Amino acid sequence: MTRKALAVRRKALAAALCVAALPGAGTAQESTSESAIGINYPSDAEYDKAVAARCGDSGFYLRGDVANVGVYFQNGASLVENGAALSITGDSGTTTATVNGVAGYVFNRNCLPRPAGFDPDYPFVSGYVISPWVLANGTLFNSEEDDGNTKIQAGLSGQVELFQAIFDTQYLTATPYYQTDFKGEAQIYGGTLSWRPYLLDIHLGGTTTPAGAMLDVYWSVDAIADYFYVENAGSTDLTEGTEYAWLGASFGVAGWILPDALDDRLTFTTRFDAFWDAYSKQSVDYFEANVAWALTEDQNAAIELAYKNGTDKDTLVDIDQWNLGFTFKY
Amino acid sequence: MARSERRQTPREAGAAVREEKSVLAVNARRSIRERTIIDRLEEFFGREITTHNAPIENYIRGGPGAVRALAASLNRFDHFHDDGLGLTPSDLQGIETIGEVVIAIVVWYRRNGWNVVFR
Repeated sequence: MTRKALAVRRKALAAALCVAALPGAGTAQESTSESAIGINYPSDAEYDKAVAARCGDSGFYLRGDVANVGVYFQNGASLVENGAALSITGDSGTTTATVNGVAGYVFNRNCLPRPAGFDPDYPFVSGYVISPWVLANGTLFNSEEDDGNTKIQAGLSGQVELFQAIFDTQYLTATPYYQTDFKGEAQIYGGTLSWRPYLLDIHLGGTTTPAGAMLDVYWSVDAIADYFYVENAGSTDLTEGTEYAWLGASFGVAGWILPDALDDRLTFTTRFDAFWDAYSKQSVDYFEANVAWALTEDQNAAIELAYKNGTDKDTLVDIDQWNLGFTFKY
Repeated sequence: MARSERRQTPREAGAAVREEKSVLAVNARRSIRERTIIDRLEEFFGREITTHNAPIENYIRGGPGAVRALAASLNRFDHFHDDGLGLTPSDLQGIETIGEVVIAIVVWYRRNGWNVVFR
């Protein structure tokens, strides 16, 4: 190609790329009514305002597990498998109520921008959160009986999100806490460090939902270090005056069966915890599985069948139980 | 054969391509159609996007943490990566619909010197 021909082609190319010259073309701000899927695009200022409002959304929460509270927490999130649960059982004059939930408040949640000059691929700290919470987990009886596997914890979670460092994102959490039992006799002081990674390419932490799939499934892993000192064992099987330093991990799988055909109503989750105590050298494990059928379209209420087997490292009490209950979320 | 009519050598062809790219970079803003962005998202999710109001849970499982992780996954995805897409978790924090993902991407292109073309 001669220099002259190249210059002509260059001019033509520049003209073709000039958006104003394209029929029906315009910037996003100018052509809101032309969106293929009906979007009214915001101006840059409106967009920034909307993002700031979503990121600064502190508030009260009620969930099934303190691990569900963090930088990514949001009111109205639909996660049936992680909902707080309350079930009441009657059996030969004995009434029991099983409670499993965590309540708290999110302070100072934030969304930090990518530092100036950073390439899109560079990792950076993208958020943090501080959250005080109270957790209740166990079964209440209509008598003085206590099965020794009840706990009430009060803690303060501090969490940092590291974005695009090997994983899509990951969360590091530090949680000092105080624990007692439903009678208020146990006195346990401790602290937990945990790490949760997300990598969507391998379904770690989440998955996309291809149309017509028979099963949507993802898995999760939390690496956990948990230190606590037992001043008073209360009704637990822990030893008074003893320190524990549990190292281990919690693995989970969540799935939706025939999601399109059943409108996402039939779900299952499983969880396996394995821990080793650096002081006593003992190991414990715990398995939990449940199947849930959502009662409402927004999936905030469900009937759930659950099975639990193993040893709770926080109380050292063995568990082997089935539970049919109603879960709800606020 | 006249000099101007001879076939291009590979070196000359490469030079021509580089010239065209430099024209793109210097003389004109790059452009992308909204439809192209939506097509890429449909390929990514394996599901059609027919309305902007569809809940984000219809496209990704795993809750709010997975939605924030989606920013990195989209940044890495084929043509988005080639374009240097740089979403952050803040762009997707608390979103409720697939339309908000499209908006976040369109705003990123707009802010990074691209013209977003409709229809």
